Amino acid sequence: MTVTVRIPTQLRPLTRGASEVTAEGDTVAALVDDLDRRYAGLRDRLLDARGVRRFINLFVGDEDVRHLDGLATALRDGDTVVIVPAVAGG
Amino acid sequence: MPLVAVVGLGGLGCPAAWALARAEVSLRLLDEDRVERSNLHRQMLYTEADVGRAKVDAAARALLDAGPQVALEAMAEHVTPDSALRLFEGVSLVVEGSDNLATKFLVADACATLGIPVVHGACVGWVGTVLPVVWRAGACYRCVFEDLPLDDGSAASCVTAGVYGPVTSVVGALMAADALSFLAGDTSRAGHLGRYDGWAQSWRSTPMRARADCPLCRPGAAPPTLTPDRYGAACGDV
Repeated sequence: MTVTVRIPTQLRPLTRGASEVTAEGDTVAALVDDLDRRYAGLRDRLLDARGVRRFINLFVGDEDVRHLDGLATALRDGDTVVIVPAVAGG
Repeated sequence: MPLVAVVGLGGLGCPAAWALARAEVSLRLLDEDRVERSNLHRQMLYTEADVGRAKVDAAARALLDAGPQVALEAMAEHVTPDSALRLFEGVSLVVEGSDNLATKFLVADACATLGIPVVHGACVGWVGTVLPVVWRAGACYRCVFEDLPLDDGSAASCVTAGVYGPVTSVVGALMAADALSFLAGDTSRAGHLGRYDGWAQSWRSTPMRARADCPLCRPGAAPPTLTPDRYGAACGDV
């Protein structure tokens, strides 16, 4: 499954500045693995031993994966995953 | 007349306060900082002549100069675990545009303790978020972001990535719009996480679900204890 991933400002140094990338995966976990292969270090910024880091939200479409099946949430071809971290600043 | 506390008179607090004052909402302005020259590109209430002045005093002057005779309380204090409940005493709503995550979680906890609504806002780069919260009417800040990043080097959200001035003005105005809606009795946007992207020129508002295991608002959760050790771990002292 090819999925579009929107990258927040804070993580763009890892994606060489790209605000949107594509990656492959049948599930969110597989997608994060593929993202990390393409952009080393991204997994650690999104996940910890417990799962999705507590100040990070991963949306599939409009739904937080915590309210779906977490990292096992299935992805379909053409889905968009949005990474929304807690931010401070203004 | 409702009284709204504005936490942080920076890029978000300035436009939010401006819009609320123009709507004749009384304000309690909370910020300990002084105006710096580097603030001027995005903090619309200040001019070159204000550099070095207390932000709350300069903001109050600008708001009064703008016209409506609203009641303004300028308090040059940061919101801390010791002061939060006192600073929010008597307010109908809090608009939170602080520049650090610790204060955001502290304000969320204090507002939950007092049962008052809060509109959170934040900006980094071209992107800003708005989360209006009504206690136990949809998701709260901890439902969405749970807790401060651990101090393990993973705290990407603490990195100062810069912010584009016009983005803060848009997001601050959106925060004021949510605040005015709440004050008018419309809480239909409570718990919606809004994301504005100034580069893509897009706005997306997503209704967030209250988290069943939310440490703050789950049924039966104990009131939060506002102690410094709860907020100081990741992003420096509150």
